[in-house]
Amino acid sequence: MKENPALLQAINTLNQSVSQLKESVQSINASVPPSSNKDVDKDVDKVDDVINHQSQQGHFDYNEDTSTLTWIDNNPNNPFHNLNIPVNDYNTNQLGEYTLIMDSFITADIKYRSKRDGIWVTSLGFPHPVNTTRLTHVAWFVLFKYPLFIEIYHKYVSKNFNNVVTTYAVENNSQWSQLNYALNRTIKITYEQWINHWIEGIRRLADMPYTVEELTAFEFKLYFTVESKRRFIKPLQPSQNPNPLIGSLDIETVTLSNGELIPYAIGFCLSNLEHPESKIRKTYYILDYLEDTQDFKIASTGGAHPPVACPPPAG
Amino acid sequence: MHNLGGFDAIFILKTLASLHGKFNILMDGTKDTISLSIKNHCVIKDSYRILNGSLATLSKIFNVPVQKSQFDHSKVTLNNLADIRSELIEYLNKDLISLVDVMIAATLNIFKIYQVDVSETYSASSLAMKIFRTNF
Repeated sequence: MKENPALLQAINTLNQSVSQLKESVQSINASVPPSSNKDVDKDVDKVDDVINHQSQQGHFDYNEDTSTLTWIDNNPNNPFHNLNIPVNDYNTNQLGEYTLIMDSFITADIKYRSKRDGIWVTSLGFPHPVNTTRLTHVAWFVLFKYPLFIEIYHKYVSKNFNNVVTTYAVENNSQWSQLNYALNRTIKITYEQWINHWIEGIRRLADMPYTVEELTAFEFKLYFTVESKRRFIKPLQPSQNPNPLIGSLDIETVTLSNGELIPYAIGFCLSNLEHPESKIRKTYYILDYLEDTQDFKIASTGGAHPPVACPPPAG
Repeated sequence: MHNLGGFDAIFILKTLASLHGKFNILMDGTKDTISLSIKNHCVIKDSYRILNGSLATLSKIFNVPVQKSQFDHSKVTLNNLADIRSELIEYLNKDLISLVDVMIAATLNIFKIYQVDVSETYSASSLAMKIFRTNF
């Protein structure tokens, strides 16, 4: 479709008129300071959150000869890549797949797969301690006993225990209640107190649908919290003056038989708040820019479509 | 522009591009245009997002001197453009004056009550937030 000549002329003149009006208003209001709201907004942006979204994803490989789990990170540059975790006396044959994600808060999200149906269970409650010692120990070992994790734990968490958010996916209320007891701490406690509390909570879990002997694999996710700065919604300073330049723009269209809408009349009106009675107003009609209406058909559609009625424009 | 995002924007994008080259488009999640900004020149905003009502209603609410008039758009065809010209131009002029007067009235009223500049907002919600942050 060719450029609509009336529309082109309208926008072009609008640009010129806006420039002229701005210049005239600027010369009149040169002494009036601009609105200061934008300056305050910039201040708010400066105190925006600084959240370190470290995310690590990958999988563990298990070496039976060395009884070692090796973390293979999706990002080989990640310091956790090739991280070796000895599993020693744990029954590693039951360990299959792991997922480790470190993000904005500590979470151990553990899934497991049972021999019973061979499918991944998306929820987890830690098993009863009698049957789940190994699983609990392995999870505990991987989560919290390995030095690197401890280091990160201290770095990001120990400074402020209120940040510790550890959640598990569980499948019934009993497990949720125990996990809430075990993992949701809102008071400041020592590292040893927190470990003991965590263990006690795990051991109090009940209603486990699978025993550890039935497990063939499980995975977990770790999230670490970095305390973020609070962001306050700062008050804005009142505007000194509203922008004096206001205008309106409108387009009228006609619909062709193929459904295409063609602007045929365009207008704009510019005004100044301080002198609203004086307005710059211009309208453009398509026929003024064509030798005859046939040109309009050619310009818009190639003349292949007969004219049809136009629906009222929206708004 | 009243209902810029819902209707008019699509018609002026090409013309703006041919005249200015680069210009900024602000869109919402549904790809409706919120504003068209020509750097250091002007910003075309959707007044319908700020004053969420038909122009006929708004011109009554703000009691502007030139009210939006009526025009039977269904009678417009390519063949009768010449015949409807004077009527259409008059209707278009009233629309333009009515809208600009509505925006002036709204701008002055809101500034008088809340010391907030409507031209710095893009929608009723952003205007409400600015009023809240400025006054409460």
